[in-house]
Amino acid sequence: MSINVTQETKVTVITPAGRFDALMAKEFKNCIGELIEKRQIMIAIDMTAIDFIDSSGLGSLVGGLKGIAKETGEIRIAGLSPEVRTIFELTRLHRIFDIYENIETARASFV
Amino acid sequence: MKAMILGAGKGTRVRPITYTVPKPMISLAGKPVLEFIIEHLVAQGFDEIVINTSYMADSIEGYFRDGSRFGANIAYSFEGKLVDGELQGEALGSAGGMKRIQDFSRFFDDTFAVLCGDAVIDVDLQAALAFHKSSGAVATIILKEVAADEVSSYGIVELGDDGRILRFQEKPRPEEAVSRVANTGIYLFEPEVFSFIPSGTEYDIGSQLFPALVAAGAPLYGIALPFTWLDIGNVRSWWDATRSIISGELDGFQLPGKELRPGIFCGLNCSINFDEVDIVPPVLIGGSVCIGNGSRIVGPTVIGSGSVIESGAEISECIIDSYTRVSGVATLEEKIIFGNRCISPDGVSIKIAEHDIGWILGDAREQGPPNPVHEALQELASELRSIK
Repeated sequence: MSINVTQETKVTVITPAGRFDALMAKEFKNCIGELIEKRQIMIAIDMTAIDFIDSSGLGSLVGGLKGIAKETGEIRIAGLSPEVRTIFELTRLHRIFDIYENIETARASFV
Repeated sequence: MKAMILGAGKGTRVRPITYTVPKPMISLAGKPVLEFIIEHLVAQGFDEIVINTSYMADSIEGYFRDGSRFGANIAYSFEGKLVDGELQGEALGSAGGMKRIQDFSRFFDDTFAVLCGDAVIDVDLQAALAFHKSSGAVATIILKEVAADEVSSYGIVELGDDGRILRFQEKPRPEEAVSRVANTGIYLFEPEVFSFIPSGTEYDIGSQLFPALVAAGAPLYGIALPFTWLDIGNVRSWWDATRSIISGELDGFQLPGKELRPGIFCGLNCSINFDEVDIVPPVLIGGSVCIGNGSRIVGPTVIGSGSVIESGAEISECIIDSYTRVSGVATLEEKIIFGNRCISPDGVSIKIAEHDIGWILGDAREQGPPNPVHEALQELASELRSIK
C-alpha cells in the first residue's frame, strides 16, 4: 500500500496503489490535508493501480472532494478498473466525480 | 416415451451464478430452465424422464420430486456419494451418465430422447422422431441454423444430402465453417447406441460418442429444424434469454403475476404506488415486493420476490434476485444482483460484502443497526450533490 504524490506545473497527481481500504483511506485523508495546506488544490488521482475499494476508501474520496471543493479546488479521477468503476456506478459516485479514461486526459482537462 | 435430461454439470461457464444454483435451476422470469424443458417433453409425449444429477443435486431433486406436479414420471440418477453428511458429485459426463442408467436398470428399451438441461426449447420432437425412424439412424442430432457470425460459439455439423452427418467442427471461425447448422444438445437414440459407450467411466456425447459412431460407420444423422432455442451457456446468454422472455418474445409463455400496467407484471402482496414510481416496461415484479416512491425502474428488468427498492433508487435493465434490498442512493444499470454479488453481463463480478457496500445492496430480511460509516458516506454524498 502506498500513495505517491507528484507536483506538476499546475496539477498535483496522486497515485495510490494496492487496496483502497480503511488503512489507505487514513493515509489519503492526511495527504489531502497536506495538499490543502500547501494550496495544491488542482488534483488528479490515478487509480490504475487500485484493484479494490471499499466503503472506507469511497468515504475518504468523497471527504477529499468535499474538502477540496470548499477551497475552490478540484479533484478528477482516472484509470478506474472495471470492478472499481462498478462500485462508483452502484454508489452513484460516478455522477459526483469527474472521471477520465486515463491520467493523461485527466491532467490535460485542467488546462 | 422415455427421455433423459443432462443435469449433472457444474455449469462452470455460468459462474458466478452457478455458485448458488445448479445450471438447470437457473430461472427465467421466475421459472427454472429445467421446468420449461420438462413441460415441453411432456407436451411432446415424453413423460418418463430420468435426470442425472450430481452438482447441487438436492436443489434439482427437491424441486421436481417424482414429477407428478408436472404431469411426468421422474427419477434421478445421482452421480456421486455421501461423505460425512455431504453430497459429493462425481459426474460421469453426458454419455457416461446415459450408460450408468442403462447398466442400472436397462431403462432405455426403445427410441429415446436426451437433452441438455440448460436451454429453453420448443422443438417439434415428433417431427424429429419421424425423420429418425425413417432414416434408420442409431443416433440423430437435432440441429438449428445459426447466424454466420455466430458459428464460432457452437459445434457445427456438415450434413450429406440424406441428412447423414459427415463431420463435426467445434467452434470454427466463420470463414472456416463447413455449414451454419449447430448441435443444440438435443438427441434421439436407439438403445443399440450403448454398445459404443464404455461402462463406469467418464464419456462425452459430443467429443467421444459421436466420433466413435462416425469411425465405426454407424448411422448418425442430423436434422435441422426451426425452433426457439434459448441457451443458458454463459451469463450473457442468460441475460439475453431473460430479456427476451420478459419482452414477450417466447411464444405461448405466460409471464407470472398480473399485468397491472401495459408490460408491467406484478405478483401478489406488493407495495407500489404506480403514480409515484416511474416504471418503463417491460418489468416483471415478484410477490411481496416494496418499491419506494420516487424510484425509477427501466425495463427489461426483473425484481425478485420479497425485494425492497428504497425511495430514489434507479434501476435500469437489471435482474434482481429475491429478497434484495436496493438503497435509495443506488444506481443499477445493466446489472445482475444474485447470490450476494453484483454481476455485469460482460462478466465483471463484485462480492458485495467484501467491498462493505451493504448500505447500497443487501438482503431485505437483514436486521440490525445502520452502519455509521455508511450513514456518514451517504450524508457526504448528498451534501456534495447539493454543492454541485
